[in-house]
Amino acid sequence: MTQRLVEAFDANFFSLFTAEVTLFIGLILLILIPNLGKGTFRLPGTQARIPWFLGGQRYEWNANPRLPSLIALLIMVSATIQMGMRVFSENDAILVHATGDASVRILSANPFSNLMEFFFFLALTLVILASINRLDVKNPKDKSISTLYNNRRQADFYILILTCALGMSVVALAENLFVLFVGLELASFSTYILVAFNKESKAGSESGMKYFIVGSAASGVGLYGLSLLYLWSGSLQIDILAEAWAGIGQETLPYVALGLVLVGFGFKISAAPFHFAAPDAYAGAPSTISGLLATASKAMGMIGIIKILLVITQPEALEGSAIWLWTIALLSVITMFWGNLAALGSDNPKRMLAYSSVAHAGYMLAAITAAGLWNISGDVSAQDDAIQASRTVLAAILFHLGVLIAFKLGAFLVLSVLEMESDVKSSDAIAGLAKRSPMLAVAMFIFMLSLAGVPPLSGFLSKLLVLLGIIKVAIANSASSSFLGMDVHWVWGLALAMGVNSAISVYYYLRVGVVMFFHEPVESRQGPLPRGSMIRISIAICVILTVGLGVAGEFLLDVCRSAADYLMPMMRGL
Amino acid sequence: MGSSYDEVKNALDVPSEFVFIILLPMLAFPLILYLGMKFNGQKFWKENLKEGGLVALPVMAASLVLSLVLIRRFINETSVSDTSTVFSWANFAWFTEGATTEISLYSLNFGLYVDHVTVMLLFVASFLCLLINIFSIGYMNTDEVNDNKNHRFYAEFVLFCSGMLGMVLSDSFLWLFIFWELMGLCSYLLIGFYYDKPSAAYAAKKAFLTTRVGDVFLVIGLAMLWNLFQPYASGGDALAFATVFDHSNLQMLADAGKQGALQLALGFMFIGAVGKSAQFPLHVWLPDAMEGPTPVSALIHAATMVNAGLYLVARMFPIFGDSAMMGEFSDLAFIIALVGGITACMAALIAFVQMDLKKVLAYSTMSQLAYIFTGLGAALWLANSLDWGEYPNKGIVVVAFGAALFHLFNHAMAKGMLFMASGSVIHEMHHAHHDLHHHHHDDDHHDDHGDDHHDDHFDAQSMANMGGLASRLPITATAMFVGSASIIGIPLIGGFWSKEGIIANTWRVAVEHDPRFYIPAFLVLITAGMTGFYMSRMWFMTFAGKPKTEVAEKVHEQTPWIPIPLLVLIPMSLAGIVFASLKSTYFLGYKGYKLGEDGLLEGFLYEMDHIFVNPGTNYLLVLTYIAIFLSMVLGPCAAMALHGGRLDEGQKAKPWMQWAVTLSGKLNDKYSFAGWAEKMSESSFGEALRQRLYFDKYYDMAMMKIVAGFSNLSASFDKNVVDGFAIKTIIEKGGQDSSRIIRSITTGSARDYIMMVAVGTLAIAILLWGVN
Amino acid sequence: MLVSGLSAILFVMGLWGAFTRKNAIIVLMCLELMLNAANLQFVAAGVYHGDTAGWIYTVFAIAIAAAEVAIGLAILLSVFNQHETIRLDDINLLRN
Repeated sequence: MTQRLVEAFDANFFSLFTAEVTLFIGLILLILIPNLGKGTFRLPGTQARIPWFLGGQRYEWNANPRLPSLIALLIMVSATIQMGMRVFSENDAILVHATGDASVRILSANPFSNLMEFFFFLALTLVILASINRLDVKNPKDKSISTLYNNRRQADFYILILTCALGMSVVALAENLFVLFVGLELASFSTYILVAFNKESKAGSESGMKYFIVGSAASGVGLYGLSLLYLWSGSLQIDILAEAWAGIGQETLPYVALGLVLVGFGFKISAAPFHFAAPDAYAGAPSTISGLLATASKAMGMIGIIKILLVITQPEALEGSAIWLWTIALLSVITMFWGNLAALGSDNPKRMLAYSSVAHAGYMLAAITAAGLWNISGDVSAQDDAIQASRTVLAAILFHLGVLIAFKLGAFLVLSVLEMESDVKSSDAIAGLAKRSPMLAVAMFIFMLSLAGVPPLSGFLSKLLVLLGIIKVAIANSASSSFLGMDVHWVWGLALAMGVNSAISVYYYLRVGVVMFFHEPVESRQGPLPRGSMIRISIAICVILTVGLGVAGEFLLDVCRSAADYLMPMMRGL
Repeated sequence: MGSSYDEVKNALDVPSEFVFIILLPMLAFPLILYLGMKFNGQKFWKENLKEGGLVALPVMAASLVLSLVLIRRFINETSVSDTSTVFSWANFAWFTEGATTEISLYSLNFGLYVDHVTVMLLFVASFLCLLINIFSIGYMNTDEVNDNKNHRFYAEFVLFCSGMLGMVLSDSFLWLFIFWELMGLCSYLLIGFYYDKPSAAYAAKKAFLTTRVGDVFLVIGLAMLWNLFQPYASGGDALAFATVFDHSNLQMLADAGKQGALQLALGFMFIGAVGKSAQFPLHVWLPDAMEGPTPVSALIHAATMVNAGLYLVARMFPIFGDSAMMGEFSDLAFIIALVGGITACMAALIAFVQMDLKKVLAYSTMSQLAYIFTGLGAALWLANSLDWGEYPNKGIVVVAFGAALFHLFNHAMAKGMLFMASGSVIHEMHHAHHDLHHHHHDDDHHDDHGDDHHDDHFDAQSMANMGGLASRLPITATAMFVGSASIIGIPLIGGFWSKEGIIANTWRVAVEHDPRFYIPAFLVLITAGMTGFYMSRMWFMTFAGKPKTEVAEKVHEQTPWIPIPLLVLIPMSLAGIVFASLKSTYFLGYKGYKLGEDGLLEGFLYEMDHIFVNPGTNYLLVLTYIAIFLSMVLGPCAAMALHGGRLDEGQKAKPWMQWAVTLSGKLNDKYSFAGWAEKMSESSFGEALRQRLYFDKYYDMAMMKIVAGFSNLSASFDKNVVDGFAIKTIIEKGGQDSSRIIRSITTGSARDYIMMVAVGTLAIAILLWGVN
Repeated sequence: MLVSGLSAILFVMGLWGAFTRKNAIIVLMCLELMLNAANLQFVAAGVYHGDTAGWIYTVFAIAIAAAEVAIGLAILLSVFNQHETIRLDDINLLRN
């Protein structure tokens, strides 16, 4: 792999980051275009009015309230396609450094970041596609205040989605923890507002407030952790931090700082006990946005965790185990049990999915723990096995993040169709869905099966990969001896916890199927569902991805492997 | 050293049509479901097609015919010295590995794998499935409760059959597991067939959860196995039998010192088998599955599905038997035998006091399966620890393995028949009760509600309501008689040969090699006598003596279809000796060892000689006669004395049963042990047995506290398949459900959430600090 | 190190206030306190290490804090419109 150096904001820079630049230009267009109009400006002291094209009465061509959604869709699709081409063709890494000083790194586009950006953009494209129906425009001819108000908000929604996309790409690209943090905040702020988008309802505003307050508290803690890290090392640049960490002594400061930073990211992936706001937020937000939080936003948090735990602190673990292993293992087990047990009794499908998303965070943390074990063994030949195993786990995490978009987001999209008639507050909403819309019910059932991990769907494959990866690590790190007296590595415990949790989770996922297929629709939800071709198209895409990636997702797995490969040399401290 | 597995591998040509054994029932599933939904209520569907019964019938018949063709080809085209026949049907690659090296699991080939074990199980499964189908047409379609629901039954039934056949025929542990789960799903659906009945829904859930526990371990075991063999899988599935049984692979594993890990993997898989085959301590689901409302589903479980666990353990034989692993797995083999021994004895004890006809059979099933586990344990021990490439040892190993498998065969045939016969008894009891009810109804027009009430309280399954049916249900009584004899092990009848073999081989291991085996050996020997008691008790309580209720007097055989499978199975169970002779030649020639000569007569003479005259060593001969005494004389005579009795005046059973009835009457007159028996039954031990040794109670408590406690299911979820009334009350009683607790921590106040963030922060900081 | 201690005190005050105060506006102020603790630390650490990056971080963090307040107040306004209160304990429609 070759690494190209580029100065920030020179000509090369713009040609290399076309997808992100497209997003940025799109953002500006999205702000400008709906505002273009016959506005004039009176020269002071004269009666001459000079048109300046902003505000006033809108032109014919941009008066259509559907315009912002179409622009956003166009921009997002083009960004996704560009990113997809980058993922599947480019293998080089591009390092963006400060003007004049190559040692100050800012951004880096590499297979890992490309892949993550591709996932983000894909999820956001699907969200936009679904939102075209979900936040439908009212009749533009109607001049009543509420209609105008509604149509005016169209642009806001998509602007926020695009800023979210920009923030997420910064997170993926960042080579400096502070840059990463700024990107994270940019994306987070967008999601805070998006969660509160149903501000005309009590639940909507409340969920937005909770998500905002708890999220800000968590990121405040995270920022303070960053400041401590900075105090300790004098830089927040990832490679310098990693180097500093390799020479760490018996200091307490960096560990406390590490813990505080983890809190910030822990909230994003909704790990227990930082997940509390998540179910509330998912329940009150528009379902499309809940889906966004459960997939792209979670992947964003995972990037932070991977960078902190695996890239920065890993080389430190040459002797004995990495310092955070037990902590993260504990966190993962608590998280998966908490999520699954809470989901077991949840009657509201949105909350159920939220808790299941907490459980998924637990699985991923377990995988991170396993990946962190790569160099525990002192035996060099065994270490090879262990490194391979860690690579498998890492690829599995990335693959899981990718396929999660297909079925988790898909499930939320199905709920958002139901939300178009009235709020989804309990399982009554999905009761008898099979009788009202068989296709939707089947799609939802496929998503549930995939979440439960039923072959040959992609959810099965990703869960299997994670589980096998953990077991591989366990095997590579334990010397086998006789039965019962066998030296069983404690990572087996993680695999066991994951197995038990998967078994628990099957129950509540399949219950959704039971309610959909065997219950009668409730009084208030009879008759055909609201139409919406776009949202159905995006659900269809999710179904195709769910099944397709399960049966023939090898190409994606390959890409995930090369992304993991990119991280591995960094893990080895190279 | 012993022979390696792939000494001879003969590929049959053009085998792909045999995949229809699995595919036909699988395709029939949507067909029946669709037709049922479309034509429900129409006359031709109800009467001409029996609501799907006659759609399923030809399908199952075709499966059986194809299976027989396959078995015949296997016997004809492979000489006796062949070990196995592997052929791949379709290879579709699924995540084959590209350039990178670490994962090569994702090539999923499907193929059929046929060897002697397969052939045995294939015959049992396809044959019994067909008979069950015929029986169901009689049983299910004559009960108006099932009207317009039967298509669901038949659809689930064919899917179940396809799962069972697929499991038997698949060529890798992965596919085995997939079909295993398919079967589990169908069994869940079938037990919960009347999902609106709380007891059925509860039983379904219990079965599902209990077997799930085993399945979790099975998955872990398979994952470990995959990991062990993954480096050696050449371009294919690491879990394929061809990879796992390969001698050179096993040798490489042994060289790498991975025997312990392999044993652990096999041990985990064994726990899966324990769950599926209802062995201690995961046995609690089977009796409740009987409580499920259809005897047919009971039959499917007891006679068919439980064999899956045995099959899985039998499949491990080549690993145990490989010379590379010699002596490594004796612990696991002992554990298998021990679990078998404990279950055999425990289940037989519980069966002593059961009053429900089907529950006696359920516990008997458990006990007999445990016999097979013990036998397999002994056989696996021998295969693992003996150097058995050469003549004397080879014979010992093959006989031991063969005995266990042959008991599987005999038990399946006999138990299938017993369940069908019990279904027949219950069904006719119902009918008789129904007729009686109508009679009353005509007499007394005022008492509608009273009658309904009466209807609710009459238990057509309780043996306390039967008695004296021998003359009223001649075919059923005969079938029960023969089946019981086979299970007891009356000499020369089916189960005798195999049970003797199991007992003898367990003792052989104990005496000659490993003294630990004395525990299971004693347990199975005692159980032989106990089997004699409880099976006889069941027969005599049901068929001998005076009718204990008015209903029992009115019973007669009237339902069509039901007697057919009974008539077919009676000779199957009786003719154990024929199969015993055949088995020597064909079914059990594992690893190419042949016991008898080619002809039936030689086989017969060999078996007779081997069991009664010269089993090799003296203690085995003594043992044989002890076992015969216990099971044939002591147990049945005690049962006759306690529960026997003459029939009513003027009633006469068929001559082959009349003598037993008469004898029981005499014994009962002479020594009825009445006071003693009562005392026993009133003692705390008797109570403990009636409470099934409290397993269910404590499991329920555990379930209440753990599983049920976790799920505060709202009423709307409960109404249907997944949930039943019982669980709901348990939840309400349990109260302290942790789901609610856990979710109640989510108070809804943002302040609390921030506090939790702060607490978490502090905890993480302290943890990291502390570790440092 | 004095400054670090000060910032630690600020941080703990902020975090403590965030879950003990009931008024959402005050909670918002406490969150600001946490961010400012980090700012103080960044500036001090920048001086300590002789590195200007810390000051730049501070400028960014102040911008972030400003955006956060803007968003927070907007959300609180809409909450007040719906619930007619901003006492955090009274806003618990969504729970369990």
